[in-house]
Amino acid sequence: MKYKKFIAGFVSALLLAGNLCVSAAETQNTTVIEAVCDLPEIKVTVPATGELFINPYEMPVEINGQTLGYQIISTPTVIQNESIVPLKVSATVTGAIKEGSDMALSSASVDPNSTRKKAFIYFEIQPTNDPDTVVWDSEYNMDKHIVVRTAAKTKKNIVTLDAFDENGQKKCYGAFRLTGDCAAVPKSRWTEADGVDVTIAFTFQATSKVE
Amino acid sequence: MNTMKKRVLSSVIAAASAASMALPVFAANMDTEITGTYSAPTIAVTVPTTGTAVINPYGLGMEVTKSDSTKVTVAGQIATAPLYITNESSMRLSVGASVSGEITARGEGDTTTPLKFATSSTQGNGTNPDEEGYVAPATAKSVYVTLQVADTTIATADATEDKVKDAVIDEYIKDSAWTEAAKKELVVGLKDVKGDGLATLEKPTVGTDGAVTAYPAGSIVMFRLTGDCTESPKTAWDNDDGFTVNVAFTFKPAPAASGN
Repeated sequence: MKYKKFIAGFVSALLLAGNLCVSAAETQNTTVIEAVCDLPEIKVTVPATGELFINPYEMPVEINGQTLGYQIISTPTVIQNESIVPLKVSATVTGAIKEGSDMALSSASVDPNSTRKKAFIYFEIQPTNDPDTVVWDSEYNMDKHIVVRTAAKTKKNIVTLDAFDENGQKKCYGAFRLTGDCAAVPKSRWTEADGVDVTIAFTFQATSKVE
Repeated sequence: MNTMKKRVLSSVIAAASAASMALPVFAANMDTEITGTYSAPTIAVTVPTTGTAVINPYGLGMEVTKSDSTKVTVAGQIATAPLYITNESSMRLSVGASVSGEITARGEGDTTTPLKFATSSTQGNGTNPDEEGYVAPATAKSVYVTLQVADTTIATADATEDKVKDAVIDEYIKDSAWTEAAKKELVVGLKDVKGDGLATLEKPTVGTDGAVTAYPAGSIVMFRLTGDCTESPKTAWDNDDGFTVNVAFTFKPAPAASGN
Protein backbone atom coordinates (compact mmCIF):
# COMPACT_ATOMS: atom_id res chain seq x y z
CA MET A 1 0.00 0.00 0.00
CA LYS A 2 2.78 2.37 0.96
CA TYR A 3 4.59 1.36 -2.22
CA LYS A 4 1.50 2.31 -4.29
CA LYS A 5 1.31 5.68 -2.58
CA PHE A 6 4.96 6.28 -3.28
CA ILE A 7 4.51 5.46 -7.02
CA ALA A 8 1.48 7.75 -7.27
CA GLY A 9 3.34 10.56 -5.54
CA PHE A 10 6.36 10.14 -7.76
CA VAL A 11 4.25 10.20 -10.96
CA SER A 12 2.47 13.38 -9.78
CA ALA A 13 5.81 14.97 -9.10
CA LEU A 14 7.00 14.08 -12.60
CA LEU A 15 3.87 15.49 -14.23
CA LEU A 16 4.19 18.67 -12.25
CA ALA A 17 7.83 18.93 -13.16
CA GLY A 18 6.96 18.41 -16.86
CA ASN A 19 4.46 21.27 -16.94
CA LEU A 20 6.79 23.55 -15.15
CA CYS A 21 9.49 22.60 -17.56
CA VAL A 22 7.51 23.79 -20.60
CA SER A 23 6.42 27.06 -19.15
CA ALA A 24 9.59 27.89 -17.34
CA ALA A 25 11.87 26.83 -20.14
CA GLU A 26 10.37 28.96 -22.89
CA THR A 27 12.14 32.17 -23.67
CA GLN A 28 11.49 34.97 -26.09
CA ASN A 29 13.81 37.30 -27.97
CA THR A 30 12.84 40.02 -30.40
CA THR A 31 14.48 41.23 -33.58
CA VAL A 32 13.37 44.42 -35.31
CA ILE A 33 14.17 44.50 -39.00
CA GLU A 34 13.95 47.80 -40.80
CA ALA A 35 13.56 47.79 -44.57
CA VAL A 36 14.21 50.84 -46.71
CA CYS A 37 13.70 51.36 -50.40
CA ASP A 38 16.98 51.25 -52.25
CA LEU A 39 16.63 52.81 -55.69
CA PRO A 40 19.55 52.84 -58.09
CA GLU A 41 20.67 56.08 -59.66
CA ILE A 42 19.77 56.34 -63.33
CA LYS A 43 22.73 57.60 -65.30
CA VAL A 44 22.55 58.03 -69.06
CA THR A 45 24.69 59.92 -71.52
CA VAL A 46 22.59 61.55 -74.22
CA PRO A 47 24.09 63.67 -77.01
CA ALA A 48 22.77 67.20 -77.19
CA THR A 49 22.89 67.57 -80.96
CA GLY A 50 23.24 65.67 -84.21
CA GLU A 51 23.16 66.43 -87.91
CA LEU A 52 20.66 65.43 -90.57
CA PHE A 53 21.34 65.54 -94.30
CA ILE A 54 18.66 65.50 -96.99
CA ASN A 55 20.45 63.99 -99.94
CA PRO A 56 17.87 63.70 -102.74
CA TYR A 57 20.35 62.63 -105.41
CA GLU A 58 21.99 60.01 -103.19
CA MET A 59 25.37 61.66 -103.51
CA PRO A 60 28.17 60.06 -101.51
CA VAL A 61 28.44 61.72 -98.15
CA GLU A 62 31.38 61.02 -95.87
CA ILE A 63 30.59 60.84 -92.19
CA ASN A 64 33.20 59.75 -89.65
CA GLY A 65 35.27 58.16 -92.40
CA GLN A 66 32.36 56.24 -93.79
CA THR A 67 30.82 57.02 -97.18
CA LEU A 68 27.03 56.85 -97.28
CA GLY A 69 24.65 57.36 -100.17
CA TYR A 70 21.16 57.38 -98.66
CA GLN A 71 18.62 60.11 -99.28
CA ILE A 72 18.24 60.78 -95.57
CA ILE A 73 21.42 60.55 -93.53
CA SER A 74 22.18 61.47 -89.94
CA THR A 75 25.46 61.52 -88.06
CA PRO A 76 25.99 58.40 -85.91
CA THR A 77 24.57 59.12 -82.52
CA VAL A 78 24.42 57.05 -79.39
CA ILE A 79 23.04 57.10 -75.89
CA GLN A 80 24.79 55.13 -73.19
CA ASN A 81 23.33 53.53 -70.10
CA GLU A 82 25.79 54.06 -67.27
CA SER A 83 23.42 52.77 -64.60
CA ILE A 84 23.75 49.51 -62.72
CA VAL A 85 20.29 48.48 -63.87
CA PRO A 86 18.85 47.89 -67.33
CA LEU A 87 16.73 50.74 -68.64
CA LYS A 88 13.58 50.76 -70.71
CA VAL A 89 13.81 53.57 -73.21
CA SER A 90 10.84 55.53 -74.52
CA ALA A 91 11.21 58.17 -77.20
CA THR A 92 9.13 61.11 -78.41
CA VAL A 93 10.03 62.50 -81.82
CA THR A 94 8.88 65.85 -83.16
CA GLY A 95 9.78 67.45 -86.47
CA ALA A 96 9.75 71.13 -87.40
CA ILE A 97 10.15 72.30 -90.98
CA LYS A 98 12.70 75.07 -91.26
CA GLU A 99 11.32 78.50 -91.75
CA GLY A 100 11.28 79.43 -95.44
CA SER A 101 11.15 75.83 -96.65
CA ASP A 102 8.24 74.53 -98.69
CA MET A 103 9.03 70.88 -98.07
CA ALA A 104 6.63 68.56 -96.24
CA LEU A 105 7.01 65.52 -94.01
CA SER A 106 5.39 62.33 -95.23
CA SER A 107 3.88 59.62 -93.09
CA ALA A 108 4.88 56.92 -95.57
CA SER A 109 7.73 56.12 -97.90
CA VAL A 110 7.98 58.63 -100.77
CA ASP A 111 8.18 57.60 -104.39
CA PRO A 112 11.49 59.05 -105.66
CA ASN A 113 9.64 60.21 -108.75
CA SER A 114 7.10 62.15 -106.74
CA THR A 115 6.69 65.70 -107.88
CA ARG A 116 5.91 66.97 -104.39
CA LYS A 117 8.78 68.02 -102.22
CA LYS A 118 8.27 65.49 -99.47
CA ALA A 119 10.56 63.56 -97.16
CA PHE A 120 9.81 60.44 -95.23
CA ILE A 121 12.02 60.45 -92.17
CA TYR A 122 11.92 57.95 -89.37
CA PHE A 123 13.78 57.36 -86.14
CA GLU A 124 15.47 54.05 -85.47
CA ILE A 125 17.34 52.91 -82.35
CA GLN A 126 19.28 49.70 -81.82
CA PRO A 127 20.76 48.35 -78.58
CA THR A 128 24.39 47.42 -79.08
CA ASN A 129 27.56 46.65 -77.19
CA ASP A 130 29.61 48.40 -79.84
CA PRO A 131 28.32 51.66 -81.35
CA ASP A 132 30.74 51.29 -84.28
CA THR A 133 29.21 48.06 -85.53
CA VAL A 134 25.48 48.59 -85.52
CA VAL A 135 23.21 46.40 -87.57
CA TRP A 136 20.40 48.62 -88.83
CA ASP A 137 17.03 47.45 -90.07
CA SER A 138 16.88 47.27 -93.84
CA GLU A 139 13.47 48.91 -94.08
CA TYR A 140 10.85 50.81 -92.14
CA ASN A 141 8.97 48.83 -89.49
CA MET A 142 6.05 50.58 -87.86
CA ASP A 143 6.43 48.46 -84.69
CA LYS A 144 10.03 49.50 -84.14
CA HIS A 145 10.44 52.92 -85.70
CA ILE A 146 8.95 56.37 -85.21
CA VAL A 147 7.99 58.48 -88.19
CA VAL A 148 9.00 62.12 -87.90
CA ARG A 149 5.95 64.36 -88.08
CA THR A 150 5.27 67.91 -86.98
CA ALA A 151 3.08 66.47 -84.24
CA ALA A 152 4.93 64.61 -81.48
CA LYS A 153 4.98 60.82 -81.84
CA THR A 154 5.87 58.61 -78.90
CA LYS A 155 6.83 54.99 -78.66
CA LYS A 156 7.01 53.57 -75.16
CA ASN A 157 9.68 51.04 -74.29
CA ILE A 158 11.07 51.13 -77.79
CA VAL A 159 14.21 49.33 -76.61
CA THR A 160 15.74 48.12 -73.35
CA LEU A 161 19.40 48.82 -72.70
CA ASP A 162 21.51 46.52 -70.59
CA ALA A 163 23.09 47.78 -67.41
CA PHE A 164 26.51 49.35 -67.90
CA ASP A 165 29.17 46.81 -68.58
CA GLU A 166 32.78 47.90 -68.44
CA ASN A 167 33.81 44.79 -70.34
CA GLY A 168 31.80 45.81 -73.38
CA GLN A 169 29.87 42.56 -73.52
CA LYS A 170 26.41 43.89 -72.84
CA LYS A 171 24.22 46.06 -75.00
CA CYS A 172 24.27 49.17 -72.86
CA TYR A 173 24.43 51.52 -75.87
CA GLY A 174 21.45 52.71 -77.88
CA ALA A 175 22.66 53.73 -81.32
CA PHE A 176 20.09 55.77 -83.16
CA ARG A 177 19.66 57.41 -86.50
CA LEU A 178 17.21 59.24 -88.71
CA THR A 179 16.79 57.68 -92.11
CA GLY A 180 14.17 57.42 -94.83
CA ASP A 181 13.64 58.70 -98.35
CA CYS A 182 12.39 61.66 -100.33
CA ALA A 183 11.30 62.86 -103.73
CA ALA A 184 14.41 63.11 -105.88
CA VAL A 185 13.28 65.71 -108.36
CA PRO A 186 10.21 67.53 -107.11
CA LYS A 187 8.63 70.34 -109.09
CA SER A 188 9.86 72.81 -106.54
CA ARG A 189 13.54 71.87 -106.42
CA TRP A 190 15.40 71.17 -103.20
CA THR A 191 17.36 74.17 -102.03
CA GLU A 192 19.58 75.01 -99.08
CA ALA A 193 16.57 76.62 -97.47
CA ASP A 194 15.01 73.21 -97.02
CA GLY A 195 15.51 71.36 -93.82
CA VAL A 196 13.91 69.92 -90.75
CA ASP A 197 14.75 70.18 -87.07
CA VAL A 198 14.02 66.98 -85.24
CA THR A 199 13.73 66.85 -81.48
CA ILE A 200 14.08 63.49 -79.79
CA ALA A 201 13.08 63.33 -76.13
CA PHE A 202 14.14 60.19 -74.30
CA THR A 203 12.54 58.80 -71.16
CA PHE A 204 14.25 56.11 -69.12
CA GLN A 205 12.78 53.69 -66.66
CA ALA A 206 14.78 51.22 -64.62
CA THR A 207 13.85 47.58 -64.98
CA SER A 208 15.07 44.30 -63.58
CA LYS A 209 15.34 42.51 -66.88
CA VAL A 210 16.15 43.05 -70.53
CA GLU A 211 13.24 41.93 -72.67
CA MET B 1 32.69 1.60 43.44
CA ASN B 2 33.39 -1.74 41.92
CA THR B 3 29.72 -2.62 41.91
CA MET B 4 28.92 0.69 40.24
CA LYS B 5 31.51 0.09 37.52
CA LYS B 6 30.14 -3.36 36.87
CA ARG B 7 26.60 -1.98 36.55
CA VAL B 8 27.68 0.70 34.08
CA LEU B 9 29.64 -1.77 32.05
CA SER B 10 26.80 -4.25 31.88
CA SER B 11 24.40 -1.48 30.82
CA VAL B 12 26.74 -0.45 27.96
CA ILE B 13 27.08 -4.05 26.83
CA ALA B 14 23.33 -4.52 26.98
CA ALA B 15 22.72 -1.36 25.00
CA ALA B 16 25.32 -2.36 22.48
CA SER B 17 23.87 -5.81 22.04
CA ALA B 18 20.36 -4.37 21.82
CA ALA B 19 21.52 -2.01 19.08
CA SER B 20 23.13 -4.78 17.09
CA MET B 21 20.05 -6.91 17.46
CA ALA B 22 17.83 -4.04 16.39
CA LEU B 23 19.33 -3.68 12.87
CA PRO B 24 17.49 -6.49 11.07
CA VAL B 25 14.23 -5.42 12.73
CA PHE B 26 14.50 -1.78 11.40
CA ALA B 27 15.40 -2.93 7.86
CA ALA B 28 12.19 -4.75 7.46
CA ASN B 29 10.08 -1.60 7.94
CA MET B 30 12.30 1.10 6.32
CA ASP B 31 10.70 3.91 4.20
CA THR B 32 12.77 5.90 1.70
CA GLU B 33 11.78 9.45 1.23
CA ILE B 34 12.82 10.92 -2.13
CA THR B 35 12.63 14.66 -2.38
CA GLY B 36 12.24 15.80 -6.02
CA THR B 37 13.27 19.33 -6.81
CA TYR B 38 12.80 20.91 -10.24
CA SER B 39 15.79 22.51 -11.77
CA ALA B 40 14.67 24.83 -14.57
CA PRO B 41 16.83 24.44 -17.66
CA THR B 42 18.54 27.61 -18.72
CA ILE B 43 17.91 28.57 -22.30
CA ALA B 44 20.64 30.70 -23.70
CA VAL B 45 20.55 31.91 -27.28
CA THR B 46 22.12 34.78 -29.14
CA VAL B 47 19.57 36.66 -31.20
CA PRO B 48 20.27 39.92 -33.01
CA THR B 49 18.13 42.77 -31.74
CA THR B 50 18.08 44.62 -35.06
CA GLY B 51 18.43 43.84 -38.74
CA THR B 52 18.35 45.65 -42.06
CA ALA B 53 16.63 44.85 -45.31
CA VAL B 54 16.05 46.61 -48.60
CA ILE B 55 13.17 46.93 -50.99
CA ASN B 56 14.86 46.65 -54.32
CA PRO B 57 12.28 46.82 -57.09
CA TYR B 58 14.87 45.99 -59.75
CA GLY B 59 16.22 42.97 -57.92
CA LEU B 60 19.74 44.26 -57.49
CA GLY B 61 19.97 42.70 -54.06
CA MET B 62 22.17 43.82 -51.22
CA GLU B 63 25.94 43.74 -50.98
CA VAL B 64 27.47 42.36 -47.80
CA THR B 65 31.11 42.27 -46.82
CA LYS B 66 32.90 39.32 -45.23
CA SER B 67 35.69 39.66 -42.70
CA ASP B 68 38.32 39.35 -45.45
CA SER B 69 36.68 42.31 -47.27
CA THR B 70 35.29 40.18 -50.10
CA LYS B 71 31.80 41.24 -51.11
CA VAL B 72 28.87 39.03 -51.91
CA THR B 73 25.34 39.88 -52.97
CA VAL B 74 22.19 38.79 -51.22
CA ALA B 75 19.76 38.57 -54.12
CA GLY B 76 16.11 39.46 -54.35
CA GLN B 77 13.63 42.31 -54.49
CA ILE B 78 13.37 42.00 -50.72
CA ALA B 79 16.86 41.34 -49.44
CA THR B 80 18.00 41.05 -45.84
CA ALA B 81 21.50 41.43 -44.47
CA PRO B 82 22.48 38.03 -43.00
CA LEU B 83 20.81 37.31 -39.65
CA TYR B 84 21.34 34.24 -37.51
CA ILE B 85 20.71 32.76 -34.09
CA THR B 86 23.17 30.63 -32.16
CA ASN B 87 22.34 28.19 -29.42
CA GLU B 88 24.37 28.64 -26.25
CA SER B 89 22.30 26.20 -24.20
CA SER B 90 23.02 22.64 -23.18
CA MET B 91 19.90 21.37 -24.93
CA ARG B 92 18.22 21.17 -28.31
CA LEU B 93 15.75 23.97 -28.90
CA SER B 94 12.70 24.31 -31.05
CA VAL B 95 12.37 27.75 -32.64
CA GLY B 96 9.02 29.47 -33.09
CA ALA B 97 8.27 33.02 -34.11
CA SER B 98 5.61 35.64 -34.14
CA VAL B 99 5.90 38.32 -36.79
CA SER B 100 4.16 41.58 -37.59
CA GLY B 101 4.93 44.48 -39.88
CA GLU B 102 4.41 48.20 -39.98
CA ILE B 103 4.59 50.55 -42.97
CA THR B 104 7.01 53.42 -42.49
CA ALA B 105 5.04 56.63 -42.12
CA ARG B 106 5.67 59.23 -44.77
CA GLY B 107 6.57 62.78 -43.87
CA GLU B 108 4.05 65.30 -42.74
CA GLY B 109 2.13 66.74 -45.67
CA ASP B 110 3.38 64.00 -47.99
CA THR B 111 0.32 62.76 -49.84
CA THR B 112 2.15 60.10 -51.83
CA THR B 113 0.35 56.77 -51.74
CA PRO B 114 2.18 54.61 -49.19
CA LEU B 115 3.11 51.04 -49.94
CA LYS B 116 1.02 48.10 -48.76
CA PHE B 117 1.73 44.59 -47.55
CA ALA B 118 0.47 42.06 -50.10
CA THR B 119 -0.86 38.72 -48.90
CA SER B 120 0.50 36.85 -51.91
CA SER B 121 3.17 37.36 -54.53
CA THR B 122 2.93 40.64 -56.43
CA GLN B 123 4.25 38.94 -59.55
CA GLY B 124 0.98 37.30 -60.45
CA ASN B 125 0.72 33.86 -61.96
CA GLY B 126 0.96 32.84 -65.61
CA THR B 127 1.13 34.99 -68.71
CA ASN B 128 -2.10 34.16 -70.49
CA PRO B 129 -5.19 35.80 -68.96
CA ASP B 130 -7.34 33.15 -70.62
CA GLU B 131 -5.62 30.30 -68.82
CA GLU B 132 -6.97 28.85 -65.59
CA GLY B 133 -5.20 30.11 -62.51
CA TYR B 134 -3.96 33.24 -64.18
CA VAL B 135 -3.41 36.10 -61.75
CA ALA B 136 -2.40 39.50 -63.09
CA PRO B 137 0.70 41.10 -61.56
CA ALA B 138 0.01 43.77 -58.96
CA THR B 139 0.07 47.37 -60.13
CA ALA B 140 -0.22 49.02 -56.72
CA LYS B 141 2.92 49.83 -54.75
CA SER B 142 3.05 46.70 -52.65
CA VAL B 143 5.49 44.30 -51.05
CA TYR B 144 5.02 40.61 -50.38
CA VAL B 145 7.23 39.85 -47.41
CA THR B 146 7.77 36.53 -45.64
CA LEU B 147 9.88 35.48 -42.69
CA GLN B 148 11.92 32.35 -43.29
CA VAL B 149 13.88 30.55 -40.57
CA ALA B 150 16.29 27.93 -41.86
CA ASP B 151 18.07 25.03 -40.22
CA THR B 152 21.67 24.93 -41.33
CA THR B 153 24.55 22.52 -41.51
CA ILE B 154 26.98 25.30 -40.74
CA ALA B 155 29.71 24.00 -38.45
CA THR B 156 32.47 26.19 -37.17
CA ALA B 157 35.34 24.91 -35.09
CA ASP B 158 36.01 28.52 -34.23
CA ALA B 159 33.18 30.23 -32.35
CA THR B 160 34.48 33.77 -32.84
CA GLU B 161 31.91 36.16 -34.30
CA ASP B 162 33.74 36.85 -37.56
CA LYS B 163 34.19 33.15 -38.36
CA VAL B 164 30.58 32.40 -37.61
CA LYS B 165 29.36 35.39 -39.61
CA ASP B 166 31.48 34.46 -42.64
CA ALA B 167 30.20 30.89 -42.55
CA VAL B 168 26.64 32.16 -42.33
CA ILE B 169 27.11 34.55 -45.28
CA ASP B 170 28.37 31.72 -47.49
CA GLU B 171 25.27 29.70 -46.69
CA TYR B 172 22.87 32.62 -46.67
CA ILE B 173 23.33 33.46 -50.35
CA LYS B 174 22.50 29.92 -51.53
CA ASP B 175 18.91 29.52 -52.72
CA SER B 176 19.02 25.85 -51.76
CA ALA B 177 19.62 26.77 -48.12
CA TRP B 178 16.08 28.15 -47.90
CA THR B 179 14.08 25.45 -49.66
CA GLU B 180 12.76 23.84 -46.48
CA ALA B 181 12.32 27.15 -44.67
CA ALA B 182 10.11 28.39 -47.49
CA LYS B 183 7.62 25.62 -46.72
CA LYS B 184 7.06 27.03 -43.22
CA GLU B 185 7.42 30.73 -43.98
CA LEU B 186 5.26 33.28 -42.21
CA VAL B 187 3.66 36.00 -44.35
CA VAL B 188 4.24 39.45 -42.89
CA GLY B 189 1.23 41.70 -42.52
CA LEU B 190 0.00 44.33 -40.12
CA LYS B 191 -1.36 41.66 -37.78
CA ASP B 192 0.63 39.16 -35.74
CA VAL B 193 1.23 35.80 -37.38
CA LYS B 194 2.67 32.93 -35.34
CA GLY B 195 4.45 29.75 -36.23
CA ASP B 196 5.97 26.94 -34.16
CA GLY B 197 8.65 24.47 -35.02
CA LEU B 198 10.14 26.65 -37.72
CA ALA B 199 13.63 25.32 -37.04
CA THR B 200 15.65 23.38 -34.49
CA LEU B 201 18.82 24.47 -32.77
CA GLU B 202 21.24 21.72 -31.79
CA LYS B 203 23.54 22.01 -28.77
CA PRO B 204 26.84 23.81 -29.19
CA THR B 205 30.18 22.41 -28.05
CA VAL B 206 31.05 23.73 -24.63
CA GLY B 207 34.50 23.81 -22.98
CA THR B 208 35.32 22.87 -19.40
CA ASP B 209 34.78 26.48 -18.35
CA GLY B 210 31.24 26.38 -19.74
CA ALA B 211 31.99 28.69 -22.65
CA VAL B 212 30.96 27.73 -26.19
CA THR B 213 34.02 26.59 -28.09
CA ALA B 214 32.45 25.54 -31.38
CA TYR B 215 29.15 25.40 -33.20
CA PRO B 216 28.54 21.97 -34.64
CA ALA B 217 26.11 21.41 -37.50
CA GLY B 218 22.61 22.48 -36.56
CA SER B 219 23.50 24.81 -33.72
CA ILE B 220 23.03 27.91 -35.89
CA VAL B 221 19.83 28.87 -37.67
CA MET B 222 19.54 31.69 -40.20
CA PHE B 223 16.56 33.87 -40.78
CA ARG B 224 15.56 36.46 -43.33
CA LEU B 225 12.82 38.55 -44.77
CA THR B 226 12.30 37.73 -48.40
CA GLY B 227 9.59 38.13 -51.00
CA ASP B 228 8.88 40.40 -53.92
CA CYS B 229 7.39 43.74 -54.86
CA THR B 230 5.80 45.51 -57.76
CA GLU B 231 8.56 46.54 -60.11
CA SER B 232 6.86 49.51 -61.71
CA PRO B 233 3.81 50.46 -59.67
CA LYS B 234 1.39 53.18 -60.72
CA THR B 235 2.79 55.32 -57.93
CA ALA B 236 6.55 55.12 -58.38
CA TRP B 237 8.84 53.92 -55.62
CA ASP B 238 10.85 56.51 -53.81
CA ASN B 239 13.43 56.50 -51.06
CA ASP B 240 10.84 57.29 -48.39
CA ASP B 241 9.14 53.94 -48.88
CA GLY B 242 9.90 51.38 -46.23
CA PHE B 243 8.59 49.07 -43.53
CA THR B 244 9.57 47.63 -40.18
CA VAL B 245 9.08 44.04 -39.09
CA ASN B 246 9.06 42.84 -35.49
CA VAL B 247 10.04 39.23 -35.04
CA ALA B 248 9.50 37.71 -31.60
CA PHE B 249 11.32 34.39 -31.42
CA THR B 250 10.28 31.70 -28.96
CA PHE B 251 12.66 28.98 -27.85
CA LYS B 252 11.70 25.84 -25.99
CA PRO B 253 13.44 22.56 -25.33
CA ALA B 254 13.09 20.11 -28.15
CA PRO B 255 13.09 16.33 -27.85
CA ALA B 256 16.39 14.69 -28.64
CA ALA B 257 16.81 13.84 -32.27
CA SER B 258 16.09 10.20 -33.08
CA GLY B 259 19.21 8.13 -32.74
CA ASN B 260 20.59 10.31 -29.94
